[in-house]
Amino acid sequence: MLDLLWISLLWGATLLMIVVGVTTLTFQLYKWRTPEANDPDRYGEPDTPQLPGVIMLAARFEDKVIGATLDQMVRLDHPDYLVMVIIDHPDDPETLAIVRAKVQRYPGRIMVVEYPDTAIHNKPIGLNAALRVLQELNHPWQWVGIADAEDLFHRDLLRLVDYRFRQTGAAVVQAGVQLMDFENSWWRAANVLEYYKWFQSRLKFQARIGVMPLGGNTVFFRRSFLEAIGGWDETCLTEDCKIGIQASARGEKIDVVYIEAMVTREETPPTLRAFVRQRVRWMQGFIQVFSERQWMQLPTATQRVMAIYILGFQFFQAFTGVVAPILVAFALTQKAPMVLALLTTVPLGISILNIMIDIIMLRQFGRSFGSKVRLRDYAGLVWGAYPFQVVLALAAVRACARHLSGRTNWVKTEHAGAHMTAAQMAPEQPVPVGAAYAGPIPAPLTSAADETVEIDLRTITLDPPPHRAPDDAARVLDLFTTSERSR
Amino acid sequence: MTVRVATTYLPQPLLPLPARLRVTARFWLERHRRSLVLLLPTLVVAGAVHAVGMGSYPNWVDDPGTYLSQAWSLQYEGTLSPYSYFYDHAPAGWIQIAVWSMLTGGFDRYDSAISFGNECMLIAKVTSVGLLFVLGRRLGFGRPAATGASLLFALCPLVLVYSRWTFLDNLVTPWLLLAFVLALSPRRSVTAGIGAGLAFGMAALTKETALVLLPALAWSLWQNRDPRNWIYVSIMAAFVGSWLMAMYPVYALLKGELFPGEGHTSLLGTAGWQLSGRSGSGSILDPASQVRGMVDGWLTYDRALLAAGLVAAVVCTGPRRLRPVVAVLVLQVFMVVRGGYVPFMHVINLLPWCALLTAGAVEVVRGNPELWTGSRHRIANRLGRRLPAAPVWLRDYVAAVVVLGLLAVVAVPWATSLQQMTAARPRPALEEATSWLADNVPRTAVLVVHDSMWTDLVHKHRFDSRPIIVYKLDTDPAVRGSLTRLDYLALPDWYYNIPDAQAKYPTLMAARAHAKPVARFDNGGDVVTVWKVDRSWRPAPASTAAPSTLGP
Repeated sequence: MLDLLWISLLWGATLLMIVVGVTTLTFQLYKWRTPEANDPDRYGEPDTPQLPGVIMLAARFEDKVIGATLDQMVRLDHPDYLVMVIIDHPDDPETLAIVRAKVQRYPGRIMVVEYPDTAIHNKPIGLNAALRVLQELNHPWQWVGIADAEDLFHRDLLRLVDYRFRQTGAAVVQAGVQLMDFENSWWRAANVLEYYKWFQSRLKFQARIGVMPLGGNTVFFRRSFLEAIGGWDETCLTEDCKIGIQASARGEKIDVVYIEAMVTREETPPTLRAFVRQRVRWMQGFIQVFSERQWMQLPTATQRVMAIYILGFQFFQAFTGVVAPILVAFALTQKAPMVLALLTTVPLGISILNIMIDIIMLRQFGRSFGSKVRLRDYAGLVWGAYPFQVVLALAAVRACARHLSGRTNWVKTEHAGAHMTAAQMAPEQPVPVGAAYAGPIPAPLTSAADETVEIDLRTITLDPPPHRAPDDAARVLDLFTTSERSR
Repeated sequence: MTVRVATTYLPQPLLPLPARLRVTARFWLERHRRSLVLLLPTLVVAGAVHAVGMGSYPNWVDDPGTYLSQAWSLQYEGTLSPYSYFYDHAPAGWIQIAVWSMLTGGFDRYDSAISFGNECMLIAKVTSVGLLFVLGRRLGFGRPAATGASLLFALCPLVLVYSRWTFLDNLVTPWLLLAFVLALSPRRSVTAGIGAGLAFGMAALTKETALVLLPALAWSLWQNRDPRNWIYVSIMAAFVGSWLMAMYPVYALLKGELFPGEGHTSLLGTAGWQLSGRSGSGSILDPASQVRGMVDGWLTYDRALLAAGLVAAVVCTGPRRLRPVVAVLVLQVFMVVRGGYVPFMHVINLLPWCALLTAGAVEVVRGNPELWTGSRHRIANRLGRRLPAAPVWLRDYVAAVVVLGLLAVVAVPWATSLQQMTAARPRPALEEATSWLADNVPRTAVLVVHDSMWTDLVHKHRFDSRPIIVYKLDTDPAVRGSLTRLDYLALPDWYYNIPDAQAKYPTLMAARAHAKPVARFDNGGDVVTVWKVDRSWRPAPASTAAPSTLGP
């Protein structure tokens, strides 16, 4: 009886892992499935840009990088775009000062938006604030691009995005983001390759089937879509994933563009601990999106199944890698039936295959981006493959535990509360501090807050946006009267 | 320099599955209408020629019986052989037969298991004929030439004889053809590469001799590569194929039978014996050698296709796309002439490629430009240099002469042979002997029987005592260990008359010395005599007999 139970468990685990392994491979190699899918010219040659747009850049304590970023952002090759920098004025005068200097230097190109006066700091609140400003100014815009403070967009990116919007009729264009620093730590190469696979292959597959958690930056939204859904969800840990699922549920077309020369380059998290924390936040965000059940509105059953799979993907994948060798060991020592014992080697085989593919991809990566891959980088990739899976699995366990215990509040760093009163701090509210904000952190700021709140747009100065309490955060979306709320 | 075709990739909305399938099916039919018009009748002809008379011709030989007993054992007992499996062949061949039987109740549908084996071979044959057509097309043949290749393979009497026997090589053929078809996939997708790897893995697991063709397949796959995804096509094909093939040694490893050791069979032990211990079949130039006798035997059925194939191979070295196929035939011919052991049914591995190359040679003579398009981007610069300068009408004329000449040579002898092979014949003597045993012998009697009788006696006639397949009598330690008496011997007479009978079957010969004939069956083929062994006779103890623990 016990035997039967244990054998059926082994059967179940093996078959599940084979399915996960095969689908993982399918996702990873989707871009290379045929030569045409990997054709360098597949995106077409961009013509003259026609759609006015906005780049939104939410910055917080980014005084070290924001200047350089803005210098690059104003030089993009597009005739009609505006860079909106969202800054919490009283909280972050240093960044504000730098940005104001840039506004003087590039009049009409950059505009400062004040972050709403709430205790919570997260990206969606800032983005929605910027959307309101656009609305109030009656500024003509057709698309919004999202950037982080350290993101250097490629000069030709906007032309391409503009072209793809018109060419495909897509509601969203997701362009590539690529981590670059694979050297120095054993886990970085694996992390870099994750991006390499996600942005050029996996996202394309997800766009194809229409279940699409998006990336957090270098992503562009069409105006009509943003207005229809009423902006970003301000309570979600991974607003990027959420808005992607919303787009999918509405059956919107999402275009994925990965051109190596044009990717937005980023760095891996500074430490393994930061990496794990970031990953736990993502995973927890995915669980949150999953439990909100918006994916159940996806048009077809296939998509709903895929949604379960894609939202749960990180969990499945994390565990497959860890369990594969254990499964074989079990089958060997416990005298499982022969067919089952042979089958248990398949997930192990897929794990080995994944390592081989990683090696090839690291080589390709090195060639495409002109960075030299040393023998020890390959070696690290091989011996680090299993520990990396273990780290992912641990992050998955932590994310599940946090979700189950209802802890969605994100650990505050010391500066976040330094200038706030206890009443302003709502302990149950999410205050994410993740990769998107993982910039250099200055000493706690106690200087007097900047009381004059103004918005610089060419020569116009406006009244400050209305003060909003944390609980009102969702209500601001009502500004968009043109559309139904999707939640 | 390669020219890239600019394609704009647009994400397409997904239709519901049934609608997608309908659309796909309609487009597929539309695209392949003209091919189907030629191919479907060819398949019908191939199937009919193969099926009519396959129950009574050719005569029953031992291997089909062995494989069917092993398939039966897998289905009903969950083991790879009713005796100790000694890794003489990788098991995929009879696993496929067993799976087909499990799905369709194969062993219950016929009077004899041999007939079920014939059915399996019919399926393999029709599949192979179809795949030959597709492979021809993918190599660049016109539809008539591809049909010609299929028909040559379907109608050649030599093919017919050997493809009717339940041999593992007949199951290898469709897998190999499939591997090449997928390796030459025009889409050049990763999926096709994986398919090619898996198909080749199945071929090698069906009969390990297919492994010699690996270089030819790799060559084909490489020729068809595209720089934009070749690295992944190649690695996936190689890895998936290797992993599938690795299941065989892994199986042995899990059973503790990979390495040679005391008291058990082993994969490496048998492989070592097969590669070096087995005596060769001699030189093909030596008129008295085994291999020469075998080749002469092949040639009694037909010479034309083998000869045409060998000549065509020379012609087909011209277009680079055909060279891997030439390599296949060269490798298979090398197996015959190298002087090592050549299995009796090896000709099966030559014939489909002879058919393909013969049709290919006609295409070369005709000057089909498609043959030179190893990669579609090379058309322009290759065409001018490589094509013979002869005018079109002359090339067509020569090609027509070649085709007519071939037809003139084969038409009469093939028609005559096919007529004989599809004619009604009396039941094979072995089948009659089986019926006689079922009617006249108690179920507890210990029988020594021919391979092809075993499954019927066990499955249909329920001989609980488990008849013993003749060559296991002196080779399987388990059989020898439990042997206390023998009651009946039911074998073709030639078993006792071969020169080394005393050495190969000592126990059998000793038993027959103490037996008297009780029934005799002679229907024009092998003569089968049933002997009843004297009750007082006892086989010698195991230690004195058993010349080898390895195979016949």
